[in-house]
Amino acid sequence: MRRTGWIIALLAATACGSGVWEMPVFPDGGLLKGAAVLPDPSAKFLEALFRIEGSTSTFGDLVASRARDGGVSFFGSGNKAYSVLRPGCVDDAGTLVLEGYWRNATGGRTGLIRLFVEPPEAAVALCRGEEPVDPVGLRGAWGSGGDLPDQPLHLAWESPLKQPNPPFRVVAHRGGCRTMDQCGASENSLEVIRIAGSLGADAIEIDAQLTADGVPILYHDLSFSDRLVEGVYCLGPVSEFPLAHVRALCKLEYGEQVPTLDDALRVIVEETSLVAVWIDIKTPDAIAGCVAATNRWRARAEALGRQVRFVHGLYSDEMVDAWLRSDLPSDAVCLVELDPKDVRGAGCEVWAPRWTRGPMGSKVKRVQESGRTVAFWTLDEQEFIDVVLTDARPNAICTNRPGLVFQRFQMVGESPWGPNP
Amino acid sequence: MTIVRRGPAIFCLALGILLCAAPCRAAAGEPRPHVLELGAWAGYALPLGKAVADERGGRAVGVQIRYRSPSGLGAFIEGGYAPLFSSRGRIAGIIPGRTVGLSSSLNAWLVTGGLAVDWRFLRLDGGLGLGILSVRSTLDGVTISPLQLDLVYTVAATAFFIDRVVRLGAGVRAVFASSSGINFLVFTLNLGGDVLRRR
Repeated sequence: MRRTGWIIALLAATACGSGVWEMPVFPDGGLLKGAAVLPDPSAKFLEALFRIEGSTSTFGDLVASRARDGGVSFFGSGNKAYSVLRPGCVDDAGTLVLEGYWRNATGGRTGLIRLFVEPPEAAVALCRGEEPVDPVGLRGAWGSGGDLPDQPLHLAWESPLKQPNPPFRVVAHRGGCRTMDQCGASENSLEVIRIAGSLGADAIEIDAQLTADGVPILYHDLSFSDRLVEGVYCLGPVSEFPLAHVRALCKLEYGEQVPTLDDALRVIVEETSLVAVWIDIKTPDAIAGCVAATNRWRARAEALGRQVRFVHGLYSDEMVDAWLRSDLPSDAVCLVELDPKDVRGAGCEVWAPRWTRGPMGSKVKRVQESGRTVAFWTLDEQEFIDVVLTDARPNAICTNRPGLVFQRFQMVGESPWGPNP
Repeated sequence: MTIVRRGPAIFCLALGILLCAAPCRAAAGEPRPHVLELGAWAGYALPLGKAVADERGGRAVGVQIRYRSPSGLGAFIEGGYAPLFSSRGRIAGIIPGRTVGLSSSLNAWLVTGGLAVDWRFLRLDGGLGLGILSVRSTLDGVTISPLQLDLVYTVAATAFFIDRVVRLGAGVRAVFASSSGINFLVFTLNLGGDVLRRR
């Protein structure tokens, strides 16, 4: 009995907690304070595969860069660091500097990073909004924690990015990442949706369910608890809280409000360049409200000239049945997580198999050739991402590590078999 | 790491120590009997953590039935109630253009069972069970009363001043609701009595 007691006591030491992670920032705004904004098309010329020279243990050998929503991000492989930077033109536009933070995706390490575009002629051209004649490189330094960067870092241009056709999409899980992934904002918050593009996402998956007064809100679990929200009175089934009580009693882990679906769709349409949103509807009674919201924001997107695809996720037989029973507009797009026959039966356009079912290459190809798209969920490990990318060639992967999936597609991915755009 | 996430760990630690401390055989001398004991406790509940509320804690009560073996190792079943938080005030920005009244409270109901060790005048309990966390909140005249069921761990230590057929003592119990993250201490006065003794 004493031995059992010691074993149980030792097991207690394995319990661990979580915290809220905040990105480091340059004191006094860094060199970007007062810098001129990089002209809109120029950031695209910074998209490429770069070879890291020095500091490969932190950043990896090859990083893929991507420009979204005014920023430029760099993504390494495996558990290496990713970087989220903003560009700015200084020294009367003779210098193009990028500043921001780097972060180890699976650990607590983070720090500041500052890079300068080279050669100088390329920086001048980019700051004028022109395409540089030669491929660009980046040279600068990185640091740990809040310390100013002091470790040398050089990114040498390696190759252009793949431009797959049909396109391959990186779908960020729960709006960008889960709260436990500590990407700087709570899951299913407006803040995480705003940074999803800089984390590597083309599209996002969000979770929707109804409040007691019938308002669709973004929240994953069916009950409020301290796993995802703060507030001692924010406890119990979501369906028993009217929206006003949610607003008064609940805050997400990073202090954000629990958003309504309308709030989230407004941010997606008006503030980001995301091309699609997968709304994982948690309960059958939320279907009609979610479709009504997407109709409103699809009209708004069209008015703004934005191409955004609104996809309604159905994860069970019960949800598929409720979808078929609902009186919905014929152009409402749906996704089914079950089998391809269920996708056809529900008249849906997207099949979303769980990754643990394996790549199912021939089945994926048949679905794609029938004009439907395939999105695997939720893949976070490089080994399995590579298997699905190479053996299944899906149209999308839903992930908590969008930057890793983006980098792996650039390394090993191929265009989906279909459908043709 | 925060105390909110440590509940299961503290529970395991206490249970481990409790089992390590368990006497292996009855003390020398006259063998002790098998005993069925009824008891009750009353005291003050004090929530752990940094949660903001106008009032934290309140008067808590509980009842127990327990079995004590001749070795000192025993088992118990317990039911309890503890008020944890309450707040009252007015709030702006929730309903456009208006400041409205908001009053809320959170109470806990517990049903737990577990192992206990009696050693001299001390008693250690380690329990596991069901917690019903009950919120009541009224905003602008609209009242909601959601309930959240949760797995709870309890760890308790009691020292007895009178330790005969009737027992009187004081103690402290820690309660950890695993997924709700609601954790609290209860400082108690304990009263119990043997209702059945058999050798």
